[in-house]
Amino acid sequence: MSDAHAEHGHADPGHGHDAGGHGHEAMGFFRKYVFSTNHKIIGKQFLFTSLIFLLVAGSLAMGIRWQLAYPEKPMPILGSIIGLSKMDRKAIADIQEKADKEGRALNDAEKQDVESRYAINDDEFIMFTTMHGTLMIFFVIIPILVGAFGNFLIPLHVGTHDMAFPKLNALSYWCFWLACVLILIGFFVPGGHSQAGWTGYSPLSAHHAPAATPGSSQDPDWFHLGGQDFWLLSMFFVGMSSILGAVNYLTTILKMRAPGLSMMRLPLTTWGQFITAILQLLATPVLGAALMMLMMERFFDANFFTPSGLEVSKQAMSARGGHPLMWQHIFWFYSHPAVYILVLPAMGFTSDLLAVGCRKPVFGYKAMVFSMSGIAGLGFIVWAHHMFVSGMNPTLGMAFMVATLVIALPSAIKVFNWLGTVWRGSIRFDVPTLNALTFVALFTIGGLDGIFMAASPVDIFIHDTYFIVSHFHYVVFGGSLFAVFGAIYYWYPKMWGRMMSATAGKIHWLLSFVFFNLTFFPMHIIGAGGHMRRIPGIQYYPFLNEFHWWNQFISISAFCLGATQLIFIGNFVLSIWYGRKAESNPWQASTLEWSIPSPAPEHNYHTIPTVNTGAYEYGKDGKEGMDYEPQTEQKA
Amino acid sequence: MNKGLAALCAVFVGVATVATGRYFWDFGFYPHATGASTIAPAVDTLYLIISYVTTGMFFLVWSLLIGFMVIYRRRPGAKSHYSHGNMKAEVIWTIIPAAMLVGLAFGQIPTWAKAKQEFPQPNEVDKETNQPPVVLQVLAQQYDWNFRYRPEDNRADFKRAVDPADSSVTDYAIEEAVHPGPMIVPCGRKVFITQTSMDVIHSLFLPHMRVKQDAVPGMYVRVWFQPVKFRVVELPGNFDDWNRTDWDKRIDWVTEKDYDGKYGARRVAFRGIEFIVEKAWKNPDTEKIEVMRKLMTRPAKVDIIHNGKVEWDVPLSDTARRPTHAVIPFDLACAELCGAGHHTMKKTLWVGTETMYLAWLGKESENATPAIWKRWVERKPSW
Repeated sequence: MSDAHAEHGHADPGHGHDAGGHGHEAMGFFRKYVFSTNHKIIGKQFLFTSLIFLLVAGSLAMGIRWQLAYPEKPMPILGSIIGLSKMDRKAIADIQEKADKEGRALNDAEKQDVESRYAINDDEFIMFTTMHGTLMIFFVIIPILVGAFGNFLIPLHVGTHDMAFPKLNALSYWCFWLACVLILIGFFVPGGHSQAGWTGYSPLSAHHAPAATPGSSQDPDWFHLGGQDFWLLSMFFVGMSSILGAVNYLTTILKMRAPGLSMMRLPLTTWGQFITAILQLLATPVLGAALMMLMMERFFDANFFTPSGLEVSKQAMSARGGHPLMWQHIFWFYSHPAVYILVLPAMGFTSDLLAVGCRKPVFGYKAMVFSMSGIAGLGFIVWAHHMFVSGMNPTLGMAFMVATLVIALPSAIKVFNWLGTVWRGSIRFDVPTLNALTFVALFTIGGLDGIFMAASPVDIFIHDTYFIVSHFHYVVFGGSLFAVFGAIYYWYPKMWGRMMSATAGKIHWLLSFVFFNLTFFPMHIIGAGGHMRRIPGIQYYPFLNEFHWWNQFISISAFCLGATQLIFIGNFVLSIWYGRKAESNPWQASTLEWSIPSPAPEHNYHTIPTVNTGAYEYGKDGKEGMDYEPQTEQKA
Repeated sequence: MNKGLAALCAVFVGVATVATGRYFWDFGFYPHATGASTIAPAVDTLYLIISYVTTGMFFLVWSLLIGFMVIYRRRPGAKSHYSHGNMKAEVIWTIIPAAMLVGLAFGQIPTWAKAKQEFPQPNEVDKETNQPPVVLQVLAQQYDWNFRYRPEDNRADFKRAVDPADSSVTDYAIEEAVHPGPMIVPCGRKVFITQTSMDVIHSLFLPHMRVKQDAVPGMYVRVWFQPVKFRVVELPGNFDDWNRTDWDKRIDWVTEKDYDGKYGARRVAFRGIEFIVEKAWKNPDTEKIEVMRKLMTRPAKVDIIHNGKVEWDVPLSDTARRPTHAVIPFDLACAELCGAGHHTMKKTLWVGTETMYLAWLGKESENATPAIWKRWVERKPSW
């Protein structure tokens, strides 16, 4: 939106100059906002789609926590939405119909039966855990970090008009959109969605036998596709979207940087995106191959991951010749680098936000770049630490254990460099800075508790327990999602020309910080006590009975954490229309995007800027009393 | 606004303090189930060492972060220090964590090797215990565990000796039995397991033994452990005061050597009691008493060992012969998602004296069934 337009004081997101398309001709709504090739619109498409999935996946998490705290009891509010299968609905209708026909109210037994159907059953619980993980990783965190912010920021940060391949960029979103549709359809097919865990371990994910692998039936009415098939197809398109995006990011960063913008002058956010794109380009095709192999097993009876002689539900399986560990090796060869795909962009955001918030250059810029590169490189040789108890050769396990501990080093360097950035700063406690500081604090916990898992003898005990659940939530939620919150608050003015409410932002930050820790820190305790994940209650195991109080405590905290996110959603949506009008550089930041109006104009830069300094020249005596030098500052 | 945030922070600190207090009240510093195998002390020590190191690093980083946030908060007129870094500091904070991580990496190798590489030899008398290891095969299926013991250990009508360490399952006679009951092992002897699965991946989890190993279809995966102690509980005469605190206090951990001196002359139930114990344990405290009372009056039967002799099928209603103590089984769970019934894939691990073990096996073999293994062998998997 142009400044002139913004003067009306009503920054209608639908009518600014940041609309899609590259021509100046008048475009219809669909051309502008749906089938756009403009990087900013595509970034926003990723952002909106992922925020919707954040609500869906978050609701599933609430269901999981309800079941663990109050096993077999009907879940209030969400229970009737997420806990009722088609079969349950029919059964309830039948009971009611029978009573109506007989002209009486439901008797006690019928009431109990109806009530029990509102509870989350075992199938649903496993489906929730599977889909919560799948959606959060592949449809929320990665698309927001990479799809939304990568698209929105890279051309702005490198000082160009758009991505190198705008149509490829649009295709990347539409592959993602197709994946979203496919993954949602899976919830409605007979037998429900995938129940093989987000890791889709074979043979559980390869069998068709519904009794043995619920969510895996192949119904003729649904073109012989079941929930597991929709999961596989959807993941395939997510992967394709990532690869297309990565090609675009790498090309844009390498070939379209503004004059004077050397790689070592790039903001660390863009470095994070650059290294992530390399990871995606190299690792995602491997996942794609694995998914294709598994689809061939399910659709065409090929055998890659299923050995001979198996028996499922007393039925002999026809498969022969495959090996289950091959799936694990291939899956983790992608998915361990994917862990860094989940966090490297967030590390970039944090570096930018801390430098701006503390008014200091990033401490040890080169070390930060090399650390990110080191994490990415080492990330390719540690995948089998997910398989210490898989039956893999123990000697190999030892080698992976050493490599895994080594990868903690670049992460440690980054944490100390962030501390160095805060040291002797002049810290403004605005919302982006608070979230960035929280990233450092919580990522530290997520990194340190990772050492327990890297230590393979200890991992024997805590593998597949809530200790692991706690660890990756500290990294992905405590780390990445807090960085995402900070990034949304920070770049919101450049997206919409409005500021989000700082008061609501601080309340959201504090409550999220509090309830996040109350939810996930105790999981270390129950995990260290041996509490397995993916079990719908502890009542089956005497040695876990002492953790019932803790499960209730965790669940209540989780409900509060979930409710807190409504503050963020409300702030995000309402600020688009009612937020305070933003200046072009409300944070007094030095990187290129803040040299143009807010929101960013259609083609970003009227003329391609020339870069004269690094990205973080804060704490200097700049012009007009400023304490920083913009990257475009002309040197005397 | 800032005062409001500070107040909310104080509330958080309060709740976190209460939660932490509750944690220490319940578990001390260490929430693991009590270790009862030879590998457990090494694993637990490693856990504690890493806990100390990481807790120290946590306090260091958080103290610096919070300290810097307070000291360097924005003040009118104050300006930040322009600096792009400090090579010396960066070298120091690279080398120190690197040294610690390398130390941890190499320090734990012996424990890993002991747990996963130094297997007992199935056919050799172990020098430490002067006995051969107990050898058993585990066949996992949705949602059950099946156990098959080495014939000479059973001494109860197995037909011929075979070597389960040999991965060729087809060498087994089809009719050789599978135990549908619990896993049973004697205290003090090494246990060597070869396991596989007939459908999907499962994971044998024995929390008290610090054992977790996937049972993978298509593979024969080896795992071993050596139980060194087991639990004996004093059964209360009056169940009205039966509650969790009492339960904990009544448990005694004993070794094979201690057992005869402490409980040899007592009437100790070692088989059949698990149903009662488990039912009692899995119910909330208030219901527990009632469950115990009901179970003790129903015509349940237990096997009792008394002065080295086994008394079979003693009814619990027989107050004159009622056991005064009972051996408590350990948990045996599946730790890998194996389908919607994953959580039901549980059994118990019984650890007791050699006499109990032999008696157990003899009794269990009455219920043994060849059906699963027969189907399995007939298909002759060619892994």
